[in-house]
Amino acid sequence: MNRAAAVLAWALSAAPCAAWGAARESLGDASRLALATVVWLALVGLPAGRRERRAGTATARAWPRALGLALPPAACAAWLDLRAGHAPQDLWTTAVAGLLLFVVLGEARRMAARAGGDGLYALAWLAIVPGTLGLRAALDWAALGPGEPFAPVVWLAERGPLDWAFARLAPGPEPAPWISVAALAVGLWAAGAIDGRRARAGEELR
Amino acid sequence: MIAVVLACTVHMATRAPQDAFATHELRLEGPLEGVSIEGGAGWTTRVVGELGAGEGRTLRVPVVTADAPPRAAAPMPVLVPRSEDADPGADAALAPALFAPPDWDGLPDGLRRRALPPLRASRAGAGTPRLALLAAAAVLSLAFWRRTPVALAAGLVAGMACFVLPERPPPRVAVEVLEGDGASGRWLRVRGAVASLELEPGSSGWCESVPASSERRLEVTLAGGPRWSLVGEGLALYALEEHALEEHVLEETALLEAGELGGLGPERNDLEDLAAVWRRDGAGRWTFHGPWERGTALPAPDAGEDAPDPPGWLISALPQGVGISVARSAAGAEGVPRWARWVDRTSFGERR
Repeated sequence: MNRAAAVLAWALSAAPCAAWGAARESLGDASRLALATVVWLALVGLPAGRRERRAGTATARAWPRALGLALPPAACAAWLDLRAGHAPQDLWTTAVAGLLLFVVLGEARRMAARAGGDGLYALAWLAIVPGTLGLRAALDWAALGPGEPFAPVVWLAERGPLDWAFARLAPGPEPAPWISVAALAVGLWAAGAIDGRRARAGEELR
Repeated sequence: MIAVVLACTVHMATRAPQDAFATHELRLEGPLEGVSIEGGAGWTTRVVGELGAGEGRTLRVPVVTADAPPRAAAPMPVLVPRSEDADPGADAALAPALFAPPDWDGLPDGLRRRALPPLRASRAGAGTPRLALLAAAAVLSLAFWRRTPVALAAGLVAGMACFVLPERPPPRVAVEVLEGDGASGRWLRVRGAVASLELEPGSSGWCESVPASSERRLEVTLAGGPRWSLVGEGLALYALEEHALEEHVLEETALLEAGELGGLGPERNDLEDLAAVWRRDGAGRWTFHGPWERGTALPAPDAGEDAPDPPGWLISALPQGVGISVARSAAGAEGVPRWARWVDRTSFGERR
């Protein structure tokens, strides 16, 4: 995660804590911690850009720094949720599972960048992170029409990290996304490894 | 959305009986730090206050009874000793109920079905100290972006500090509604507040919490004279008490004794000065009438385009086909808006 993306994520995740008046009312009883989690999960695995790869900064382990930036807004959001009457165990579930997803996404991004290329990783990230959320939105629209959606598509849409984080907005117990975490880790690490192998093969040919 | 509205409507139409609390006399012998009494429906009465060795005190306490009217036998108080080892001199004895509210089912059906006023505590903000802390931690993390341990440590420390910084007390959310029934001339005074609601010591009535949590309790504080309150962190708490009108007051709208509540029919306001009144006729048309002074007839309707609408919660779940007055009172305690709802005498001859 580069510094610009980290600053953007920080501003977006701190905004619910700083909101006042009508803006605060419009958020209703939504969990501020889940809102902060959505932002960071959306941006922490963002594939490295060409400029970042050229500068050689993409291979550094950036997610711990980003975590340093993410913790204060997340803690403030959790404090606000506690004051608003959210159950502590629900907040713990959001915090622990969110942290796990954060580490997996950040580390997979670094692995892909270190392997020398991130073409496949970028595709995998696009499919798993924003893709599953888009799939869920499409299913919601489709639900307005006749017929039942294809079950595997529904299963896939429900396993996306952002879909899980959005589900945590409403107070109440939600099972931790262990299947999502495992699928995400395997999918993204595999994408990074394949990228690396292809990059090495290309170097050998040259 | 339709399902939620339907569910709410069904819930309001079939409201469960309220939990009745009665006044009991409690005899305490020190040394002790308090007393806990298990009441009915998950309510606990807690007496908070310290009594020294040899010190005795008799006071009145509210206890929620599972039965209405309350049983002759009072529940057993549990002592909270001053030290880990209970002192043999400490004692507490609860007498049977002195005063108890009438049977909830004996209230007019129209009053029992009224929906409780909503109590929505606006969510608190983070406050300036926490926002300043967030900004400072972000600047520090970005300044040491290439030194991962420093950036991470700054985030950890600031995150933990968010939980220990002092906070401002939450804004008080409270409301009072006078629910009137023209058929019986009875009023139900409903008061609500979030987290804590003061009760009149020595009174009896009904109470309710939303949600019905096991954390709810009736608290009697000994310091500074016994003070009664409903307490429940994060809960919407309600206290209901009945006010009845004598027959002659109903018929002649005669002068009322102090504390009595008069009718609110269109011919005369015998309740109190009202800041804004809305009137619904039998056909269901609402009109705004502006302020309405006590002792006068209902003012002419204000047909202006700027006439405000009555609050939605105040006009929901009301009976059809009868005249209704709803009003915002000019009285009421500071920060506690007071509303009134009056349903005219029905043609069904309903009278209890």
